[in-house]
Amino acid sequence: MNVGIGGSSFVIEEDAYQRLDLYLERFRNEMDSHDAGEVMEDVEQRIAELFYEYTRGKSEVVTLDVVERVIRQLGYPNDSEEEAEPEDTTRRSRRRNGYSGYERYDGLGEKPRRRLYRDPDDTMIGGVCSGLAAYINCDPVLIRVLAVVTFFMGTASFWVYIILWIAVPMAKTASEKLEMRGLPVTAENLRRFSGRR
Amino acid sequence: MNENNIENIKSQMRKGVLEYCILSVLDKNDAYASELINKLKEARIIVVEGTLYPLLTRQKNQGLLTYRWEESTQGPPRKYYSLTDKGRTVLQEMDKAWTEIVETLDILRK
Repeated sequence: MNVGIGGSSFVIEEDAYQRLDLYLERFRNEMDSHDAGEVMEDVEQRIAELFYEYTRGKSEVVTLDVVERVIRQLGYPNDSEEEAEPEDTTRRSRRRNGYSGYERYDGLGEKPRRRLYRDPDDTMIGGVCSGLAAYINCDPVLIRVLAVVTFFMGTASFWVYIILWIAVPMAKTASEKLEMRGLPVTAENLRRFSGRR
Repeated sequence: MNENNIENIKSQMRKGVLEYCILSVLDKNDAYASELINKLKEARIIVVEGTLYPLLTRQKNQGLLTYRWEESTQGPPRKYYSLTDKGRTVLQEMDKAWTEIVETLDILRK
């Protein structure tokens, strides 16, 4: 997708854009509203400068890696050392079930939608079973065993698998992988997911 | 005193000195934000850049700095910062204060 920032236009990947958007929002929230507008202009201009520098000569597309690098370099206004994640446990409770460590939906804002994707990180044939497992939140092995059993019961399930294989998209970007698991697309989750790749 | 407290004092010290540093750098030459950042990073007073932008805007609103738009070879025009007369006066006062602090420590450490 195309995005204008700091008076320049860039081609940016969607998950990279979401990460950037969250970053800018948090940056703005850390400041007095009095100066925020003006400071954000400067920050956006600097981001444009760095995007230009980091993508020049390469693909010219702003990826999540580039955004992460820029964010590491810029940091936040109130912290001179490093990106300290705020411990706002009141707002986000980090439960550990299934995908430990990821932020769960906190009951506020837009509810994350869960979508059916094929899981590229865990495939036997086409990643259909693991994608289904993520969709209904159970162990992929269970789905696979069920699938194998139904294969022996008739050809119908075989065709269902083929159709799903064709029709269901692969979860390519970090934000799609989060959607596949019904996890909210937050900065923190994206950071974790992109680190896993 | 716990570690948190020490970190807090250190960051307060750095923050105070940072404003002084910005004025000192601009006293020598006018500079783009990116040049300013590179200088301050070299001198290891800042690690991340985000701290700088709110300070620049505040110092500008206090009338210590001013900027003009300069064309650049690539991309849109950029802000070129310079010190105002008021900024220069403040810098002189800060120089004095800094010397005093250093002297105080010298005396105490003897």
